[in-house]
Amino acid sequence: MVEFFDFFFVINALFIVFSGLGVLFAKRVMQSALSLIFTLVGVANVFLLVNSEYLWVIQVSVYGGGIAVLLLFAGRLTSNEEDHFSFDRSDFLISFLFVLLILANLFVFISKSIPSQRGNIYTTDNGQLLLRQFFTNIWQANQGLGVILPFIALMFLAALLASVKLAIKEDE
Amino acid sequence: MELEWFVYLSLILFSIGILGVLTQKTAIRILFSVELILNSANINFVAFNSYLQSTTSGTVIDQYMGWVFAMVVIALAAAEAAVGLAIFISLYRNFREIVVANIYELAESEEDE
Repeated sequence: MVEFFDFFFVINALFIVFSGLGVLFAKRVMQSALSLIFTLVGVANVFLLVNSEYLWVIQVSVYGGGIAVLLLFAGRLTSNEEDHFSFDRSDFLISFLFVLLILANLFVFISKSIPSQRGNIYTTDNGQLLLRQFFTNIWQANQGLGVILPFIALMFLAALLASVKLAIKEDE
Repeated sequence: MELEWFVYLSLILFSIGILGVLTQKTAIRILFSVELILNSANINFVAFNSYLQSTTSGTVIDQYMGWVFAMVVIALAAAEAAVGLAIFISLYRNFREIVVANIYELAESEEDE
């Protein structure tokens, strides 16, 4: 018996695999970066399917937001290909399939993150319980994170210093 | 949902990433592929964490260790992307391209001096 979330795991897996292949085979760097963002969001949906809402938030905001913008800048600042944007029929078909997969994915995390109950969702016990569980999870995960937070901080400091040293232009 | 599905998905994503690292020409696409590999590792961490949470009862830190490692990987990817951007800009300033096959010296090019 195929359950509801099994079905959407398969759709999400297809989404991840196709957008992952899009990273490799897209013609332009920007299309490749967009495919990478889709892949990251698809992986975030996998986290949601195994009840890791906290990591879902982290993945979408840090990976899909921050790192993706960094990579977009890297692509724009270092590519000397000219972008004459043309959109032919095969592009349209691929885009249409992608949009279908994105819609299916949106449907997953709406159906997963909003408790399915009729009536006012802000006052039902189910909603409050879900929110309380969410914050309990964050608190417990942060207890584990506190052990390794100094190492992460040191790593970020080293990365910051290294990137400043590399990217700064020395005056002659 | 069984654990194997997540492992297979992670395997496929990892293979795509390895394929990208081995075949792509520009450095930025190689970095994209490395991000794919890191994400496949993250899927494994989170899936195994969820699996162990449902089967064993340890301390709180034991139960959330997969999440913690996933967050470490995300932080690592952020640092890597920052350093990568700086390296790409530095390379582009010297070579006017970032095709890795054409970049065989790391010193500053001599015309600049």
